[in-house]
Parts: sequence; structure tokens; C-alpha cells
Amino acid sequence: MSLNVIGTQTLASSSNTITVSNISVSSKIKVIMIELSLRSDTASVTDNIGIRLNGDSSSNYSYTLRTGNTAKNSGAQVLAVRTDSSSYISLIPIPGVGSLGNTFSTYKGYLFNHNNSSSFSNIMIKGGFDYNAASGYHMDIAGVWKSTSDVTSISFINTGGNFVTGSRVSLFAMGNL
Amino acid sequence: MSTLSEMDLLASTSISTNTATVSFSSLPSTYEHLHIFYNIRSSTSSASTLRYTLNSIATTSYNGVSILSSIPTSGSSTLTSTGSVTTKAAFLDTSVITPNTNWSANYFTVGHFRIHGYSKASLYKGTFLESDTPPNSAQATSMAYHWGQQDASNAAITSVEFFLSAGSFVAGSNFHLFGIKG
Repeated sequence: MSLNVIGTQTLASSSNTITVSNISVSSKIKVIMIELSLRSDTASVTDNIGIRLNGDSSSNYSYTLRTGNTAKNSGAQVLAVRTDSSSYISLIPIPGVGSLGNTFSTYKGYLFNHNNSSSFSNIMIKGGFDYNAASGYHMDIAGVWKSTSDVTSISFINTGGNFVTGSRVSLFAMGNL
Repeated sequence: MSTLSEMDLLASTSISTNTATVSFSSLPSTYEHLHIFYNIRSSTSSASTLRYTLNSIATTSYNGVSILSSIPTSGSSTLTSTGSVTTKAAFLDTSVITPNTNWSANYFTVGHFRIHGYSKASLYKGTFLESDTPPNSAQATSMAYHWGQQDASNAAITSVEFFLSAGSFVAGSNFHLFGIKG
């Protein structure tokens, strides 16, 4: 077997943070797959979240974020952010109250090197969502946690409000399981 | 615990000393697609990109397109995207930038490489890659997408070979090969 569920957190009530903990650091796990279905209760169209590993809130992260906002009849806009020192890996955006109802982010990615003492841990996440039935967002992040420690937990923190009920984070182990 | 038996880890290579080429060979034909996850860094101080061949074919038969979006320096928010086209080359260059000795320690590029329909004998095999190089000080950060195809032979793919345009893969680099059934 090569794909096992590590954990799924589905919110039964709104919360600022979703954490999946007790991640195995067995060498049998080669890559961890991440799926994010998130929505915020902020009044704006979009909201921002931060990703932390092992609860580390120090400035031990760097990331590059690319966001495309494709508005109907107005072409595509691209926002790019590079940050070499941050207290989290920024993931922008997720849908807020101003987005189309019942719309959640459709993000998929990977956590690399969560158990590799020779390498920092890398996060790659890509995806998007429709925010008003006429336009939507596309997002890529390339993030790194500047630590060679084993990763045993990952947290997704809403920096503007709370994740709404039904928001979900799923982690899957990929390897010789 | 849930499981998905249609996906299997076929091979895994973790590098402990500098290695010029990483190959997966004698690939079984019992899967529909191959997925390879990698973590790479180069031994050289020269700029280095990730390259590959299929079935060790070195004739000028590879075509591809790469898109590289990068931000060169810290503090900049200017994203520059460049495209490159490969026509009838002896290998494919993905444009994926690999951290080298100019980078701080422990920085690696990660990515996901796929070969679709690799075991089919009646079609040319297409590849797709997505890759990220995170920011580190004065070094460029980048995101890359690459598509490729080898059109000299439509035989099943039984091997894939990865190498760099300069230098070798250093310790800490790794490649993990998964087979997915249709």
C-alpha cells in the first residue's frame, strides 16, 4: 500500500486554526500529500492564511507566492510575493463571505522532506476557486521551513478571521506503507 | 486507516554521495502512469537545471515546452516569466533551477514529474512536471512547468534517467517513483 490517510480535520464549528498532528516520521513515508478545502468568515471576498510546521512561530520560513485573479472580460492579474523571512508560509487567498456562497478553496499540494535531516522541509501547494461565478483565483506557493527537524504537525491559521464550518484539511502519506 | 492499493511505491533513491545520474530501470508494465517526486541540489557553483531522457534514448527526438516564473532577488515582487521550446533535442531540459553551492545549506528544489501512459506501445509518451525552488537570500526563487515528449519510438517506457546541466546531485537529494493503475 502506498497511500494512507494520516488525518482529516473537518470543522464542525468555526475555528481560527486547523492542525493535523501526530504525523509519523517513519522513513517509509516519502512524501505527504495535502488537500485543502477552506473558507473564511471574513466579510471580504478573500482571506489569507499562514502555514506553520511543528507550531514554530519564529521567523524560520521563506516563500514565494503567485496569485492569478482572472476577471471576466478584464484579463488576468498576477500578484507575486517573495518573502525570505517570515513567521509562516503565506497562502493567499481563500474564499471569504464576499465570495460565491458555498465555495471553498480547491488546493492540493505536497510536503517534502518532513523526515529528511539533510534538507529543509518544502511545501508546494497549487489550486484555485471561483469567487463570483464569472471569475476566480489561481494560486501557487513554494515555501520552505528552515529547519531539518522532523515534522510532526502542520497548522493552517486564518490570519483574518475563522475558517467556517465544513472547512477541511486532509493529509495523506505516500510511500512504502 | 484507509488505503488505495492502485498506487504503489516502485522505487526510491536517496543520495548519500555526489551522483551524476539517477536512473529507474526495468520498470514494470503493470501500471498506467508513473509519478516521480524529487528533491534535488547540485554540487557545482554553476547554474544548473534538471534534465532527463527516456529509455536512455539519446537521439535528437525530444520536444518540449518549459515555463519558468522567477523572482531574482530578496525584497522584489517582480515576477518574470520566460518560456522555452525544445525541438528535436537529444534530451529534455526542464528549466528547473537547482540550488547549488552558492545557496545556503539545506535548500533544495522539489517537484513532481509524471509520465502518462508509459506502458502503452502505441503512443508517444508525454511527460509533465511542476517544480518549486524556494527563496534563499540573493538566489532566485522560481516555479516551473514543463511538458515533454520523445517521438523517436512509441515503445513502452522501461527506464527514465535524470541528470543536471552542471554538477551532480548531492547528498540529501532523493527521487521516489510511484506507479498508478488506471
